[in-house]
Amino acid sequence: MAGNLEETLAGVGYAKVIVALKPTLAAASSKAALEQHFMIPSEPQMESLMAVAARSASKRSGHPRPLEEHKMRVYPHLGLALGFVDRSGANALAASNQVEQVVEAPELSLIRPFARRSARLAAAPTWGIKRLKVDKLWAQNIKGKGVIVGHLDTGIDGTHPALKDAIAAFAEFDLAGDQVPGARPTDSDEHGTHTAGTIVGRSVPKGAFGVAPEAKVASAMVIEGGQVIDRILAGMDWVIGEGAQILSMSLGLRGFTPAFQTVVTALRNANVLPVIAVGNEGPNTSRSPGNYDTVLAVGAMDASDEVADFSGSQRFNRPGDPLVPDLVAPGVDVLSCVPNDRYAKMDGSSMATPHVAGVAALLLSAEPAATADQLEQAILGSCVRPSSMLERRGNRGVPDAVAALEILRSSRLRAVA
Amino acid sequence: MPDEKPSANWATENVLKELEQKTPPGETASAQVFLSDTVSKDDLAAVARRIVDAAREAIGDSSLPVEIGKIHRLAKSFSVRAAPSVIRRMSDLESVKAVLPSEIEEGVMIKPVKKTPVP
Repeated sequence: MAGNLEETLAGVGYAKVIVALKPTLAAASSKAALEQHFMIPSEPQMESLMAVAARSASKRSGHPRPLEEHKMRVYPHLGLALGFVDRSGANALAASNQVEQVVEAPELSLIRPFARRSARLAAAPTWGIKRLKVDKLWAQNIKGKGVIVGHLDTGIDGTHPALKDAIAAFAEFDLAGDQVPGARPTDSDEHGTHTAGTIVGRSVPKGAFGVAPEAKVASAMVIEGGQVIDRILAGMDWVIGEGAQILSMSLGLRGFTPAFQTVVTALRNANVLPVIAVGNEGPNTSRSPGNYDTVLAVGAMDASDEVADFSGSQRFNRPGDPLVPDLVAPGVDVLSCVPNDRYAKMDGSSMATPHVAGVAALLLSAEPAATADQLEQAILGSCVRPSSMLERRGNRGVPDAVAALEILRSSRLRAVA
Repeated sequence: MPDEKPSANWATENVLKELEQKTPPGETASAQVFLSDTVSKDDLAAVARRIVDAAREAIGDSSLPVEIGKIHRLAKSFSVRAAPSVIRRMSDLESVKAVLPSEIEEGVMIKPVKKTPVP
């Protein structure tokens, strides 16, 4: 056991741990056997843990909380389990042939503002922001600073107050797929301004709807009309050149075509996470490339935790990740900006996708060295599917920005170890 | 449960038929050609040219008009404007993985199902 874990166990008697599992841990019975070594701290124990956290170095001021339903939580894609243990549990885990390593879980650190300003949120966060617990990361001053998100859409209205200083770069690809020299940020529709607003919109009196309000977009106008395939491919290439590590695409061809697999693989090899909408044609439908197993595919949910009727979903006959979408995010009654200083609410998987891209931007701003794969695994690992949501429609469920950051930091610690 | 073969609308044969139906005799159609993973991305221009030449040779008319458009290295893809018969011959070649129409009539934007202006 690592030194920090020993110290916490000695001082408090309990600790929150990350357990690196051996690849063979698959059967439910094995998980049950493992779970017996975990415990649920009582309220006084929790207070004791929090006191220790507060006393420890300033970088550790987290808020441990009990797991609500199970003693531990398993993240199968990461090969990790998370939960509380006492001394005997820690020893049993360390001795288990199912376990590679036991380390103390890091608590999220609160980065206090250097100088507090009176510029509080001008309006309340939208339901989507709150549902994904994005506002909890904002409270830690994690707002996407320094991150560029690629955005391929109908363009973006660069004059909108909610997008002031939010555009790192803009490119317009004309109907023939040629880049227009000196193009200024404009939107050929209103779709692109709305989706960009969800990713990086600044807080305005109308609402706080931008998930990563200090990030910026590299936005390319690639749809609609003309040689659209040429335009999209050129846009993907351009986004990589602009330094984006996340790509948000609320577009796709109905049905399945393998045509984009090569370019999606190239994006992944370039350390870019493609976050792509699954489509709005309902159950047993999807769009490409949102239905690839190499992208983070997003469906739409409403404020009642139901998958929207229109949201696409489909199971493919393939060994890895057969079900799309990978997860669902707020995609009904989504408030964002539209051109000419206006605002609108829209429904669609196009609206859900930028929520997830924004969460990825927050994670990357908090952990700038994280890879696209790590961002993806953290987001997927954080998902919880509400009991009302069918797996075939919502797959892993809804991401949790706070849990995702915790997982990301844990997995990165594990990688370093 | 579908496998990862193209849906009917993107199956190469159906794409070719649509190009043929929509292109008046003697005119050219525009298509996007996607190459196999085994093709090196370093010499795509030369590969595209060889594919065009091979298609024209198969038809037996090297004077058929063919215009190679943009070449996308990351996607291993290029756009082409040619007679549908030439595009069909190109699709027969082993180095060609898929062919899509350059213009997608139904659009690729995933349109919102509902919009409500906020005053």
